[in-house]
Amino acid sequence: MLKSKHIPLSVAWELTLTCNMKCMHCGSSAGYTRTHELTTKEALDLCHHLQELRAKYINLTGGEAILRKDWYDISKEIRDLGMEVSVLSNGLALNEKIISQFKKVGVYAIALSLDGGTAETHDSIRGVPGSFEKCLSSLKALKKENLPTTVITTVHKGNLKELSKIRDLIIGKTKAWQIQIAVPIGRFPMDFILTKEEFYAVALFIASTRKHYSVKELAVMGAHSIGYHSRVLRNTMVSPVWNGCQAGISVLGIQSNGGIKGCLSLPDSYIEGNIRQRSLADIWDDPNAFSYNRNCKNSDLKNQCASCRFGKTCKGGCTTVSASITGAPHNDPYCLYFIETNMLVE
Amino acid sequence: MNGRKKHIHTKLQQMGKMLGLDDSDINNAKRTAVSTLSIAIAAAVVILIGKIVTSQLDAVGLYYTGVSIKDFGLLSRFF
Repeated sequence: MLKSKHIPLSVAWELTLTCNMKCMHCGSSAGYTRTHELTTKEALDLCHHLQELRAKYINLTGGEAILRKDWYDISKEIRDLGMEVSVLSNGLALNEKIISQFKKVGVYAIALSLDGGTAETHDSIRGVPGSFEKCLSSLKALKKENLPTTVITTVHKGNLKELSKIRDLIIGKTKAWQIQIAVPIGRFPMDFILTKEEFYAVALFIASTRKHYSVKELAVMGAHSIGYHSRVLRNTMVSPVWNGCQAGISVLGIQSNGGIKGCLSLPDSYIEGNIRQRSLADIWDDPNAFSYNRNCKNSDLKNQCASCRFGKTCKGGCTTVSASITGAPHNDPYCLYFIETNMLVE
Repeated sequence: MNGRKKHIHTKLQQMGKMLGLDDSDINNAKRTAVSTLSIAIAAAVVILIGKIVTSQLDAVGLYYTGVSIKDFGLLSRFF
């Protein structure tokens, strides 16, 4: 099989679905260990296969990645093979030993999830009393060790109004803050999803915060699902250009049982194969794989995106948001350009 | 402020109110000629780098889009 011209630069690897929290917005419905998760040997082999595909940034996630007993060995293997490793955690299981392992392995960044500006909100969203305090103390402990952190906040109706409080809490305690929207995947209830106006207000908040604070004080970024061609607001994303969803192009998602998707957040109907049946390279290089992005044509764009002047490069925004809300890719309704067209500009 | 701009500003105020944003926050959030020019220059640089890297590595979309931690990783070098 011919090698694909695409490179999975950034890989989100769900090490385990085991989790010590029960977050209401969890897209993976994490909690219990997934059936037939990869063995240590399979996981270590996978590190080599990722290197062969020239992967660069491996983001370990879950569930709660550090609950997997061999997370350190896997991280070390990734580093030994010359790739960068980041860890996404809820902070609950962090302790001195794990923090020293982060340092030893040389993690690139540790992302901590903070979903409320008060203990009441955060703990109720995450289903664990005391998790708010633990998250903040973990953030402090990581900073004390000079480990680079980013805070991730997933926004929905339950915490929308606490963004300012969260900002005040984390100023000076983290390098970056990523804000993303919750979408109806996994156990997230549809009635908590933001309206388009609320979504726009979040973008407004991000744009305003970015102007107010320098990147050295707090680098605020909307995730890949908050943006696209605004005519009114400053850029809300990290990248100054949006070149369409990168699932299956420069991004790869790996489930803890070896299932492969273009992006880990996508619904399971987007699984392209399993590394236990076919090698990772076979799946990645398959000319028919990830076709929703690799072979996206203008005629694939739907609804408002079909007639949009940015359609060709934008490809209809975030595939996960589009698929989870409309049932199909290439028509993400949470688009600043689209919302402005309908509510503001015209 | 002309009618269209006023309409946009009022609508932004209404939406900002949901998050407790005041008039100065709204003004901070809006693009200006300077911010538009800056972003255009930044975009041109990023696209140029992307094109150079793309031609060298034969990869599409390399280095100028993607998910958060990668973005964070790439850009943190310039913080």
